[in-house]
Amino acid sequence: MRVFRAGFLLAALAALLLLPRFVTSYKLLTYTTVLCLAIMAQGWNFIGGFAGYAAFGNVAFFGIGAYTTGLLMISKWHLSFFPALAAGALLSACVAALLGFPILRLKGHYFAIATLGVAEAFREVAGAWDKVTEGATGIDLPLRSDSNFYYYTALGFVVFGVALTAYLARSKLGYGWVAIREDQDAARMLGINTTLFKVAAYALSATFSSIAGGIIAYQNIHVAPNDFFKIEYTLQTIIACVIGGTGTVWGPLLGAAVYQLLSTYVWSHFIELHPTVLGAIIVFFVVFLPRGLMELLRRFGAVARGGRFGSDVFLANVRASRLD
Amino acid sequence: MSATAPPLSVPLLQVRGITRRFGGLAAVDGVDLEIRKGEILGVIGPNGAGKTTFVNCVTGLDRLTSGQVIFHGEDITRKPSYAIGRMGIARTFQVVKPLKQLTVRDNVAIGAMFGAHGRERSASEARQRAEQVLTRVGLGNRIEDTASELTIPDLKRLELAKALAMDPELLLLDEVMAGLNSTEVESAMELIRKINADGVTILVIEHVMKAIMGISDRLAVLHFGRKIAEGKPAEIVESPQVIEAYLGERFAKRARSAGQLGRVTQDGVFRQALIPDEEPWKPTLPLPGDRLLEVKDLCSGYGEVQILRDVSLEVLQGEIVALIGANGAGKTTLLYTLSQLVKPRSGSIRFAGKDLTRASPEEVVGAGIVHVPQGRRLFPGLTVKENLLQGVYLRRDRAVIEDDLEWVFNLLPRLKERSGQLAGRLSGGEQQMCAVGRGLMSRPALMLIDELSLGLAPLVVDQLLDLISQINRKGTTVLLVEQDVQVALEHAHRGYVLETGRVVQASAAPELLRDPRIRQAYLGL
Repeated sequence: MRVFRAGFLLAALAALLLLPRFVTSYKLLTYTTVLCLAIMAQGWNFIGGFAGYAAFGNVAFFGIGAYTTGLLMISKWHLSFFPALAAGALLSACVAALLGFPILRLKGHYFAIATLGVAEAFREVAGAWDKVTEGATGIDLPLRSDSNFYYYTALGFVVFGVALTAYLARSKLGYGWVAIREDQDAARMLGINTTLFKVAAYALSATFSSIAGGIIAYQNIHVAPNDFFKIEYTLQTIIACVIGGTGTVWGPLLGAAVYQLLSTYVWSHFIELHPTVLGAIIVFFVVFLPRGLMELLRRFGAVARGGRFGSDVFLANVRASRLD
Repeated sequence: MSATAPPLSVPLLQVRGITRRFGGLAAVDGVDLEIRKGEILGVIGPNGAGKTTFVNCVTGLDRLTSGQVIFHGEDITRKPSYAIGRMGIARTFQVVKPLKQLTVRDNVAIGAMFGAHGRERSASEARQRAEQVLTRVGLGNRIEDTASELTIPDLKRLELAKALAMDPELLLLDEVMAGLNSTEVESAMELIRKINADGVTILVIEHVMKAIMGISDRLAVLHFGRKIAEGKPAEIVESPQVIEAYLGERFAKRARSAGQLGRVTQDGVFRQALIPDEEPWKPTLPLPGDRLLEVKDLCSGYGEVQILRDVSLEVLQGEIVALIGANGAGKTTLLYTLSQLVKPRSGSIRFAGKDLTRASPEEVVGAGIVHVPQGRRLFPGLTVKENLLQGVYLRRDRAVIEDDLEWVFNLLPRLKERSGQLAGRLSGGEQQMCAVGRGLMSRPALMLIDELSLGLAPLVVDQLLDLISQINRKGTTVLLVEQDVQVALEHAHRGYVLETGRVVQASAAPELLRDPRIRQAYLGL
């Protein structure tokens, strides 16, 4: 089983590495976008999936990353892409940490509303701070002829994200986050510095969002407030996580891919009803598979490993996932 | 017990004049207390006396209004909870707080990771340590299970395991034995003594008097947030103040009439004092009438696990019937199946001539069956009064609801005092009263009560049992699940014994009480 899985993963990675040879460079832009959605989802997974805090404003860091990367590249220092990206990520992490101390004291929907407000505030700042951001017009980044670059950069971060998540899930930090998600008072009494752990999760999720923002900015060569501080991005991120499975290693990546597939399929078949049909599919996932595809795969895996094969695996999953 | 305790006097924890107010109410009011290194200190007191708040204050979960907490000579009053935990103070929660989606092993591993020796352990070492601790508390066979699958007594064990995995120097146990039957209480006492013998100082809050008398070196009594007595257990149970506030006359009389009060610290002797050998059966309850509930060959379970196997039983109009069995025998599942929260797989349920086998839970309530569930299931964000009024949801006779509310308030005066408070803020025992009160509000023909005495002071248990006899005389039929088998059978007409999901015995209550097998299995005699 283990060998089979490792083989499958290597094959998948090889396919992803070879992908640019087989698709047009226009098509590749879409794939890069999917990978960036996966990066955002991996980041959201730390705060939303592991620590259980429904952050609804991660697009704020996506935007900060995009602007910081872009502004540093066109500044008088002419930073190259990676240092600029790193600076953006660092700034996002710091902003998240500073915001985190007050707003991570809130719970449930209050926290969600606060993060939503933060994202809107940043959009307003980006639109109004003409001197630096050139307001609603936005900024232009240097053009790069090699379109494979964005794809491979995003792929690299996705692989890093999977590895980091896998490592953290088995680490003390990961255990601490899950304890906080399950019961904060119990976590505190078990010796977990809940404030610090939550801030760490939020800062890490901001870092990932910021990196995705930077890559997309460089690919689009233009950054404007309304394109980059879009609430839709946060929603897509969360939907990707939910579809794939929150609090799992592979869930965000799987969810981002499935979301994109669904979205593309629905676009081409139900052009007028696109949002409606997509919405219905999302509702289906939330109701019947609230723990996502990874949980379903886990159950099928258990069956494959010699468990009883029941036609009711799916139903068992639905029943076990009932949220109360 | 005291044989293993070192020469007393070195204080490990000193609590000086601590007060905690919620609004105008002082939950803990100027309490001074010392816990000496190596001892087991019992804390008792009526429900709502402030025992849990006291523990919350010591562990930093509640901020003190005033006062000081000193551990090992260091002031920890303003320290955050996690730091206090790492210094070597671990606790359990009365209202259990499992990390539900995690396995039992991971729940405990987290304690081992972040506790006093957490820094020295890697995550995988912590998981190994968790397995040792789980074996010790008797959960060794459930390591891989998800915490949400455990029954309440196992969740209590899990609480203890989580705390133990932190390698504490001081362990604060908040009602870890509630819900255990006599035999299980014995083994829990044994375990606590062993933990103590390993050098852990223990503060234990418990209403199971047999346990607290048996293991405590000293007792402290809280009442309305104040400490009203402190001393040797034998002295405490004779204090008139304590009898009046907490134990109740009946309990004191029982112990006294057995003539054992002078030797109460001898655990075995005390136990016998509490369980009089051949008390003559007094049929004070009315004679039962027609068949009210008929259950035939009932099977049910969860997912792939079958719990109930061909259970058949009858409850007659006007009866009090006790369901007896070890933890995991299926008592709670039976009640859940009767109220249709768990669906029957086969068999039939008839109630007052109606077939309820395929009814919905609300139809069951409509038919006159009300379920007072284990673990209370109150609405924490509603006030006590609002919770009580939830009980009349299906009733149409608005005019008399006010009278009924008054009636419940009269039966349970504590609820009246607390009627405007949020149910989530009530003490554990008060929540239990509120759950019973909510059940009464729907004027049920049949009441299913799961673990009546769980977490209640002896005095309150007596009051509630009186209350049940009282409503029973007025015509309410009762099906009672109760870990205190003695108490249950003393108040019931008949009893059914469940073992691994089957009915293995059904007799009149006094017969069961005399049956040597029952006495051995469930009374620990």
